[in-house]
Amino acid sequence: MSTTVQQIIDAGFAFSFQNRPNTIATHATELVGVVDAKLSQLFADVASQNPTFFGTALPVAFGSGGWAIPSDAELVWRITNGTGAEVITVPPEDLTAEPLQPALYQIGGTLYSAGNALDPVSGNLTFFYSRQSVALTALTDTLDPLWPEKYNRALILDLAAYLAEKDGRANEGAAWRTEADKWGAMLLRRAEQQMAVEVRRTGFPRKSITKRTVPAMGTSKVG
Amino acid sequence: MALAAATIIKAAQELVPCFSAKVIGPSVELRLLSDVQRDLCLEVLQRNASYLDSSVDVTTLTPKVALTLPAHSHLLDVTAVGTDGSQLPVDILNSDSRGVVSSPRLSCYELNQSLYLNGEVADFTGITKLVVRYGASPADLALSTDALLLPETARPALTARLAIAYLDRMVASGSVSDADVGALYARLGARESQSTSNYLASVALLGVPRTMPTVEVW
Repeated sequence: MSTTVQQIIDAGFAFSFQNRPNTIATHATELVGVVDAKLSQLFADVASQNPTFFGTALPVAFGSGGWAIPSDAELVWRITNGTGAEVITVPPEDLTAEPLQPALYQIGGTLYSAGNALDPVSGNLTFFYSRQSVALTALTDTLDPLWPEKYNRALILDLAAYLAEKDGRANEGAAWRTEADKWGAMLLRRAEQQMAVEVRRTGFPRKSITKRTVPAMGTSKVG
Repeated sequence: MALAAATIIKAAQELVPCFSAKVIGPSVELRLLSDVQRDLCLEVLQRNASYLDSSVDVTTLTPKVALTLPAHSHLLDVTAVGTDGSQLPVDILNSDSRGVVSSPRLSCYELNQSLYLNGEVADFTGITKLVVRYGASPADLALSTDALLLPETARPALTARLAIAYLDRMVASGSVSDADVGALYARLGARESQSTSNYLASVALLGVPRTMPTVEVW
């Protein structure tokens, strides 16, 4: 992605002739933070809709008695061991919840062996996860490489809403925020339905982070 | 061919579109299937007491000593095999009546899932072993490769019952709501009812003689 934060800010200011660059807000710190916050929110929202959309995989080495969860992981949806077998996590208070599968438990940002016969005790584990957006800290930073630029307007309109609200133009701010939400919803819709050719033995052709596997927004019943 | 637990588990998962391994792990699946099989075995025994018959040879012929038997629901019959190959039926007494001597016939009784022989050691002179026939009781399934006690013909009934057990657990865990899966419950219930009915009918028929001796009525 080649879009910079500066370009998003410029486009946001252009939404209203009442905006006064470098007067309403500080570009290099405040507005970079606004763009970063919106991008982070959209990455998190998409993760809950389809964890593979902003997905990545990373091998993690055993160290300090466990495996550190990747720091940019928003939602870990699969872990595999060296043979490719799935490693699950169990609650720390019920370490024998599933002794027939390799299992770990989480304390803080680290996963530890659950202590059963099949559980890993060393070696690399590969974490598959939906990651957070790469942090934006400068005007010259470009947006996350996984970010689809078609939805830049979600960022631009959110920024325009922020500027209007801060400038006391509440009605205008509300209008821009409604538009920003529409673009955000379009992105979520894309994340939900992008891969419709998937064949599943069970479950529905969409991803869900929650254990509610029936589509929450769907109208059809199971069966 | 023995029916593997994995066969039923896979088929039941496919009957429940909302099945999630995050909610029902392999250990829970095996425990649910163990219970489903146990329940169906009890229904089978009500139709045909000898359907799940199995036998074990007992060579320790010491009266009044507990002889351990495999897991079973009930004894069918006990036969004493003589050194010359002859076979003698052994009476199975109620444990409350074990003091009753059925001599000259050999007898035994069951107490706490163990077999006890009546009489004296001398009574079993010339006997090499007892063949104990019993209605087998299913063991808990520990691995997906374990074989079920029930045969292939029980597959549809077991699958439908396990699918309903999956659905029960998923509703209980909150991963789906009753309202969402009400139609699926109804369909699985109908499937289970039909499959069980068919299977139990075949169980009742098994062993029924196809020809009957001619009976003349005067």
